[in-house]
Amino acid sequence: MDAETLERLLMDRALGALGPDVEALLDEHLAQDPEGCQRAAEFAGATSAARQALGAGVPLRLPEFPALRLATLERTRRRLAWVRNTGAVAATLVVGIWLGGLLTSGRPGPDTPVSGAGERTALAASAPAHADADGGFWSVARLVDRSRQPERSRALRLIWDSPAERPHLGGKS
Amino acid sequence: MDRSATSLAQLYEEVGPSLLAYLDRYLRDRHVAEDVLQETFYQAARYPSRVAHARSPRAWLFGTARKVVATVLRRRKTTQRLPQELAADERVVDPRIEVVERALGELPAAQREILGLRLRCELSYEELADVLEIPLGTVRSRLHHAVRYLREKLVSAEL
Repeated sequence: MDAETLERLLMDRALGALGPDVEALLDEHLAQDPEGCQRAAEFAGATSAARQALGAGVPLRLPEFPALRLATLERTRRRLAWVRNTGAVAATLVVGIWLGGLLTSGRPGPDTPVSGAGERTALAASAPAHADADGGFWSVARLVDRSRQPERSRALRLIWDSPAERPHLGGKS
Repeated sequence: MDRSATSLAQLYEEVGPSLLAYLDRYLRDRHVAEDVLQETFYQAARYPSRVAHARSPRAWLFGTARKVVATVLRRRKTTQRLPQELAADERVVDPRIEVVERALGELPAAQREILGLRLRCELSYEELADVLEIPLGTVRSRLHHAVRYLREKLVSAEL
């Protein structure tokens, strides 16, 4: 064992951080190393004096557990959690109703037939600003084609016009 | 008291004395130390899941107490330094302890703190790493530097 490793082990032992197995092996080694033994005693003496200097082992009277303050805190925490959860549910409902109203008012529904020039104009107006007239996902031509798809594709559509109403199956409104 | 409060009370009995000793030593003011102790357990009651999921609840409490102490010291706008306090300590009678106290005062604050947490509060190396938020290797090297320094001082004083 080199001197550096031995010193580290001696310091760990003085700090009380060595396991019993390692400590036993170290003792075996120190039995044949008087110089190491001397250093071990010095490290142990240093940590022992430091323990005393730091006041280790001096009993301190612990104040009573602040049960009342913590119980009050727990009650407050529960109340706040209830308010937060209730608020979240209410907010979700309000947003859902608002979104439902927004989606169903003033816009052609997915099952409204689009055939004439008027409808094309309406679709063009409702398409986003980046809509491309020639092609692309939001193009008018694509939306018109989509509205002319066979009835089959709309036959089993789930229609839910508003969160206030129950959803139903069907292709025609 | 519910289950979490009961377990917190148990933790208070187990960790409270060593935590209070650490705070008392660190702050040199028993009343402030008790306030910090209470605030630490208040935080534990406020965030029970953090304590429950901590690798070591004891390390979590010590780490939280250190943060509370930092806030208290900032509020006080004082820079408490252990060396001067240790030098003025009236309990010193043994010349070996006197030498060590002086040496402790000369150590960098980080080494002095970690040595106190190890020797006085008996935190494991892993817990020290958690409390001080440093790698395990740094824990070991700080402790070794401190112990080596104390030994050198004692040897040079021929005590």
